[in-house]
Amino acid sequence: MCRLLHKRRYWVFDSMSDSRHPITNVCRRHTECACYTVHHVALPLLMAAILVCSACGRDSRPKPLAEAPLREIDAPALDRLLEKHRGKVVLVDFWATWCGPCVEMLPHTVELQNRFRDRGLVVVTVSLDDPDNESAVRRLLGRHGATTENYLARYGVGPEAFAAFRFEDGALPHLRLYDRQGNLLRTFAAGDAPIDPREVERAIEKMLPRLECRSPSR
Amino acid sequence: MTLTTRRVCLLAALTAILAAGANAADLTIGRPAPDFTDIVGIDDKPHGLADYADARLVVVVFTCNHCPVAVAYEERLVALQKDYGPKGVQLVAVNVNNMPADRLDEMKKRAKEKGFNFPYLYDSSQKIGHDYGAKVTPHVFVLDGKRKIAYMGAIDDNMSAGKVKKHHLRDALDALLAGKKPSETIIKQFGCSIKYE
Repeated sequence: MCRLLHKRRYWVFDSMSDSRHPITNVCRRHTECACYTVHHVALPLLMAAILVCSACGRDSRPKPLAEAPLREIDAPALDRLLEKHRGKVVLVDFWATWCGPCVEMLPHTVELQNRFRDRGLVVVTVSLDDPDNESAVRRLLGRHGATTENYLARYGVGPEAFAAFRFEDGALPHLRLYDRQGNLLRTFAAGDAPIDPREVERAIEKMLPRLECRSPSR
Repeated sequence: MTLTTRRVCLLAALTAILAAGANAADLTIGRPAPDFTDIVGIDDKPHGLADYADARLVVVVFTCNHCPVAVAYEERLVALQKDYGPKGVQLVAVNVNNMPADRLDEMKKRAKEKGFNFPYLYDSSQKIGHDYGAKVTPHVFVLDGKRKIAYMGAIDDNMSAGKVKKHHLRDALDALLAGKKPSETIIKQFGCSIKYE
């Protein structure tokens, strides 16, 4: 959290790209950085700061979309997708429009994607709805501004879907968190207890590199 | 290791043990069905497994009011009792959720609206749910003539009644009534998680 809110200018050091960006106090809301002030910033750097701010200080709250893209998927295709995302931290949120707790969880999942995209998180949603219900799935994802990778399971709502994706308890929501090597690190299953979105967030954050802020004099 | 950390570790270990204990209650095919007594029904009377001693087969269905999947199956349960009741099958619906929409007065309303032709019981202690290892609504358990578990899991293969291809529960009942073992004894249950407290 930026502690020095009374100062006017900050630098942020991105440890992933090993580069340093100046940012303005517009970035104060960017909670991932501890920031340091600088007193002399040239005009071009200020311009760059505004550009950087548009990325690093991005409002993570989801904004509605006209319609969210949605593709069909099955269990083997999901495995291939996880393979494709090797090198990223991946969160898969299995949900359905008929599942109240899932619909409550969805905005949190979308927000995680918005907040942590730049730090290497990919969020995939898989809806276990009837394929005939596709438009309702798209609408709901759109309403929540789901910029996640969105899929609809091809199985329909039945035991085949729950067996194919290996949901032991047979319930949704069900979230799975994979590390950069594609290993399943955590499962959040509704059957155990209601899923706490903050716990999901903490688990993700632990796996992502921090955007470290350094003083420009270093 | 600080005292606080130790306490946290101990708590985590206890939680893990308790969780393992909950899973240990899960039934397997051929095991005696857990007995139950004095569970209040929508008729305000106590019900127990022994009440259905005359039935050739008993189908215990964990269901509830609020879950869209359970709701989608209500008419199928009524049709099942209608079709299989004369053959000696008794369906017993049990709710163990304590959400406002699932309380006894709401159960009475729902049963009336949908014309439930089977007992609908409410166990607010949730004991019967734990005893059977019920995970979701709906989750069915078929008890054979010796009251052993003969089938458990899903009712059929699709929440949408019009798309059902495999009638798993009916197939199991047909086999058992014919004196055979069902060809499939466990089909993955699916629905809304039961809200255990």
